[in-house]
Amino acid sequence: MKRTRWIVVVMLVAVGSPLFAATTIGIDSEFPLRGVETGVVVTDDGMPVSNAAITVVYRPNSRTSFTAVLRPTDVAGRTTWTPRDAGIVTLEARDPSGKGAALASLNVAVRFGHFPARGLTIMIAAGILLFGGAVIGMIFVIRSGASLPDTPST
Amino acid sequence: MAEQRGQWSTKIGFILAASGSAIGLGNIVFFGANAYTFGAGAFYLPYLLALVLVGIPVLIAELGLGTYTHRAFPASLGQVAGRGGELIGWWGILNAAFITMYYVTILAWVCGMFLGSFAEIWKPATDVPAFGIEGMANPTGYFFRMISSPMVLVLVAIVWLLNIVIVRRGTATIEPVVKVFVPLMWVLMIVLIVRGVTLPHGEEGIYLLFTPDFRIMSDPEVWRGAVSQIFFSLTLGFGVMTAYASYLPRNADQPNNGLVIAMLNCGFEYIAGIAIFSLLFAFAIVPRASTLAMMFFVVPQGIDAMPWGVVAFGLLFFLLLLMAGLSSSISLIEAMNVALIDKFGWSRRQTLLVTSIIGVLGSALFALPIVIDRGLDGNGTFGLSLLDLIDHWAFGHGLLIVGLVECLILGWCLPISKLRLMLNEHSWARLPVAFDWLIKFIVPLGLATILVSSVVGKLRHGIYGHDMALDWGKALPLLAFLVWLLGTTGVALILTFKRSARSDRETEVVS
Repeated sequence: MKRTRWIVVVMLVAVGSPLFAATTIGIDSEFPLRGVETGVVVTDDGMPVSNAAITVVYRPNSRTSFTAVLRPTDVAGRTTWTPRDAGIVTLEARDPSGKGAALASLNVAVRFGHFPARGLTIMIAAGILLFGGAVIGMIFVIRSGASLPDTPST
Repeated sequence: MAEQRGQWSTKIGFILAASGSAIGLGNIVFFGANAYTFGAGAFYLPYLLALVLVGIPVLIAELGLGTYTHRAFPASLGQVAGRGGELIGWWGILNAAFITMYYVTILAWVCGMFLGSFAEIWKPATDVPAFGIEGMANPTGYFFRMISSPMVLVLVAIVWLLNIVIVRRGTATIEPVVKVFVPLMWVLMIVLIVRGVTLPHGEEGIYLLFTPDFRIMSDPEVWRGAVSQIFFSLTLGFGVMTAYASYLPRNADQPNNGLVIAMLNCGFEYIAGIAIFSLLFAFAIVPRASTLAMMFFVVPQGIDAMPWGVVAFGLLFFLLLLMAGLSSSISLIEAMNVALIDKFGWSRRQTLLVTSIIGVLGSALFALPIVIDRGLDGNGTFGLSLLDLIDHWAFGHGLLIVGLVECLILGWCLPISKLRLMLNEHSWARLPVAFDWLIKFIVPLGLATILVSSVVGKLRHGIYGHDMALDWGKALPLLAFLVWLLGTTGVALILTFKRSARSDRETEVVS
């Protein structure tokens, strides 16, 4: 039950995906690492697409989304990318002007590589707070007797 | 009237019912969608703070109100603040009625997806005659074909029937059902989480969910999202918790109950978040930033990409959604029933008949636009737009307004210190004076800030939905707003000023 413009987005995704069928975008590593360079290649029916503009949308569809622009592809249809942030990103290839609809897009999950200490701390603290709190509360419920003998007055 | 109201037979039964009410579709998918929208790790810390500073205090206050008055939400607030209090109580119940109507429609769609999970959803594509599209990719194609089929009306009737069967004798029938549903929901969720984190790189989804980004946390929108999430997740402002607590004796330990319910609810969200984020990360799925898209497209897409057990996990997922949805919808219906029983002294059967007839018609109305004129507006989204608009007002604003006024009434009219002292008499966990400050100042201030920022946004950019892609029905967003505002306010006024069974009895005694 969320109040967002999901309807139109869903329709576009459902109906519009065949548009990207001919041109494809791929990367060397299926799960690239944050801060580690990887290769990006754009092809059209198997042939390299040179001079394609490549954009990277970090956290697409979120309020915290931001876009970075990579170097255009070379004659081999290749360019390089060093992910700035971990998480889900969308790579898009466009014509050299960089405008107009994307010729191809690819969703990629960029790995952290290890559990960052801050994240681990929050996960453990939240787990202790939530499940520890629930267990302690339940212990008091059980200790005080399971049944409810009194009838509420009306 | 006591016979019509009933009471919980065990404390565990009450806690399972209340936590079952809080744990709904929102916990499984709305949390994941909201967390992603507001920056995942940047969202979780504000969410935890909102739980402690907003969620738990308001939940305890609502539970305390129920045991203090032993009445449903409108009568409880009426007892504290007179006609004005009762009016806001009815207004909350009527918002809950709107929500129940489309919530059951969504549950009917969940039923349809559950049935489709046996085979149809997992086929590559489905023809959608309503839109004239041959071979729309699944599960989207199956979803649109299913919701535009007349069969969905049968599913609406089935879901209402399930609700009626469960609430037909109030606590006596609700309690045994939640004792099965709620533990089973936990088991199913744990199965999904195990599958999620054992997917290749699925564990990185956990890193994403919990690792904070302090740059993003400086955005006030993240905090607004966190407070809203907690408020909606704990079912505050619906009158449900007050209704459920009114079935408890006055010596119930409500601070402890509130703590357990809040922790179980957010604990469920914790593991649901892990399961969803593992799936998103493992298959690099971009969420569509909404509950329905998450529920019907994104998660099934992830399940479909699993190397094995696709049908089994699909069935488990939709069964989980169905049980979570039912445990919430029964609480909404029960809150309405007990409010009417308290006001008019009707029998439970009479009350259930009235709420069910109105509810079935309402749910059918949300399902019908897509069924009867499937090509509406050229892209078939009229019915979904209607649901989205009503949800925006009833759920996104109505409950926050009720919560704000409720806190002011409890904080200043009761006053809250009186309720705190009463609750402390029967609790091991003594509520501190800070509880009073939270209910009187902090929570109302937070909710008012959210509401004012929303109104300012609408004044600047136009009413919600003004930019929807509707070829006809440009007036729909304004119409939906007026129907919600005038409908809830008008009926709330009628119910408030209608003579109650109690006032009739008092008149008889006097004469």
